[in-house]
Amino acid sequence: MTSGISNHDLFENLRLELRRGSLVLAVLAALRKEQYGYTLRKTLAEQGMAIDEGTLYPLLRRLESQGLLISEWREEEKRNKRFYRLSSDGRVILKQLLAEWQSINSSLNGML
Amino acid sequence: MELLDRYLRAVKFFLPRRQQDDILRELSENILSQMEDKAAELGRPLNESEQGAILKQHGHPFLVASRFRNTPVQYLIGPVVFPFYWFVLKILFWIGLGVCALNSVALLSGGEPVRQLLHGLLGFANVALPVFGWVTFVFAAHDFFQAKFRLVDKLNQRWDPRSLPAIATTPRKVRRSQSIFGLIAGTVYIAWLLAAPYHPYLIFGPAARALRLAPEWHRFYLPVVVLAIAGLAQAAITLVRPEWTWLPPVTRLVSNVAVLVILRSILKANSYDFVLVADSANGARYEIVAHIANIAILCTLASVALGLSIALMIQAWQCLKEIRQWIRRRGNPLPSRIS
Repeated sequence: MTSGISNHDLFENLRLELRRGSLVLAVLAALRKEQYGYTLRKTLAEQGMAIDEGTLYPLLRRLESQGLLISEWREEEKRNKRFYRLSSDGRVILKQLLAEWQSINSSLNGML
Repeated sequence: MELLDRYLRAVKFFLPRRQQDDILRELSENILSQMEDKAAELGRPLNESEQGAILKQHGHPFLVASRFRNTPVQYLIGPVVFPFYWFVLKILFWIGLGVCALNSVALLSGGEPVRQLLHGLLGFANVALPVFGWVTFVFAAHDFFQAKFRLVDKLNQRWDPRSLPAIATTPRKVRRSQSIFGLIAGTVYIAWLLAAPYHPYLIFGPAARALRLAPEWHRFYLPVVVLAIAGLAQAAITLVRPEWTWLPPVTRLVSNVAVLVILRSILKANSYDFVLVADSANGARYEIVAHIANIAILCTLASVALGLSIALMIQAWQCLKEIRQWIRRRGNPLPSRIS
């Protein structure tokens, strides 16, 4: 490559960029069912959407501050954990985002 | 879990004060859950290196904390303004370097070359750093206000494509008329230079009988003649090879450097008696005339030196442009519409 970036690095950058846009959608979708940070991360990884802790935990707080998630501290297995779930605004946004994602998907399928 | 406590304390240091406890409680719970999962998988408590591996996976405390900060991305110079900022810095860098190099060249002719060279380099650093600071400050202030008052958005709304400057049609060749004029003017100038020592009237006009040039001028006579011949040669060459558009600016640049070196030597001399009263003349009347002529010559030479210094910087820039375009044209004989 003329820019000094190998094809592998370039692909990796583009792949991460592509996934980054889908992460919010995945998190919102996964939080239709209440979960706390660590179990949410495991759920996403099991579904093939692995996300590192450094990205997920701040993202949860951001989505909560935007009113898309609601959190609650609750005791589970003798420990206090913060559980997140989708708010009513979050449900509306998720529905809109899913429609947008499906539209993008069908457009791309048409082109490919 | 001493290692986890140390990690959390380190993260806490970088977190916004108001959110510290909340974030740390949550982070602590998530890491503990992860460690418990791992311990259950191994069937034994984790040792210190296994705990360390999990913490390392979370990242450096500074990075972890920075991701929790809600502050927007901050720039000193934003991406919109940055290209202009970089352009101005580059221009000023080359101008500063040019001035210092010129000064060093001039000083070198005065002896003590190593000391003068070091002096020139230090002088550049002394000038460059404050300039860099001030330019950065001005652009940072500009960036701050343009973000605050959305100046770029306003500019974008008002912008009209028809207001763009027309593309200058730069000649790809040195004009024939320009070379012919250079040849004629150069020939006349050289003829005048060669005749002047034998016919003082050509310099002093009617005062030729009373005034004469000081002997110091003879030192510079030959270099001046050589420079004039170089100018004439350039005009002759570009008449034959008009596609060598780089030659006129390069010749002007070299000539101007040489003239500045000569001027420097003249102005450095202790005596400013450029014109003397001729032996054949008598009387204090001519002393006054010579004195006035010397002051006028001194002022003219100083002004020329200043003007040439400025011209030199512009010419250096033009030279670089010409040489770059010439190399590009040689590599790509089909010129693009916009070069």
